[in-house]
Amino acid sequence: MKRTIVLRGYTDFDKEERWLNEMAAKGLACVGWYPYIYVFERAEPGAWTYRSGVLPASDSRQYLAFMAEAGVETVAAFNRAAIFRKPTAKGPFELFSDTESRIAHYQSIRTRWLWVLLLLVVPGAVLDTAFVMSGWSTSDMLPLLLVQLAFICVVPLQMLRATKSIRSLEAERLITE
Amino acid sequence: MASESRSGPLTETVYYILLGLHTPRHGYGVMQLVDEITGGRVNLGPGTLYGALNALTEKGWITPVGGAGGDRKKEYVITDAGRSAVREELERLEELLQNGRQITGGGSR
Repeated sequence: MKRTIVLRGYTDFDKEERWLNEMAAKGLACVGWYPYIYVFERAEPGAWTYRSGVLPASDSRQYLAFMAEAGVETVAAFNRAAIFRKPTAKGPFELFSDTESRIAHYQSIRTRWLWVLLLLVVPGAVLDTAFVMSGWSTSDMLPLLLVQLAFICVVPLQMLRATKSIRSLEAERLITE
Repeated sequence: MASESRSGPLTETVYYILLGLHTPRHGYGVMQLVDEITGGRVNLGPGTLYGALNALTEKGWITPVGGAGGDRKKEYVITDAGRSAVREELERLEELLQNGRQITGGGSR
């Protein structure tokens, strides 16, 4: 089957999910993903419903087995981020069905970003120091610093977004489950 | 943290999982049963169900049947502690219904 490759990066799970479902509605079903690379195949428009999720840190294999058991196909999983899909004909597909677990979902997204921040900032600072000590000038280091800055800006933004979602779900939880 | 005494109402998710596990079932079996007995109103999400099954196992209200078997489909069943939690919840629900019907005067048979 003919495959279409789209180069694209998402930092927001909800936006990625929306985009995948829009593509599916146009008849392009995502069948593979590697960071920044999405692979699509032609399918009946709207044949699949997509969900983007985070895998649990400790038992992700069990989680994926559980998904398969529940009739959910794992399109791809990388670095604890996963894309799932289910045939639309088999009924509505949501990963979460109550407020509590939706809150937990956004909390794990936030924690995941916190790790990204720690894993980027600490080695980044060490790297910068090493370059400075070896006599690099500020202008030599500018490209590196800009890349680091971009990453460091994205992370708090995404953490803030997750926090907003948590807050609004918590407000909802005061009234309904 | 095993078998603490409970406090507060059960969530709908937990309530229906506990009902579903009065007979040993695997996760998907619980999803199907709950969908069926609620006429499709409660559609448990797999992510929600997975988290709840783990939390309930940890609490000692349900237990895996036939030991831990790797990737094999895991079946669960309710424990005595789980049963008593359901009984308490039923009493609470009876009270809710009774008070609700009495005060609104609606829904009485």
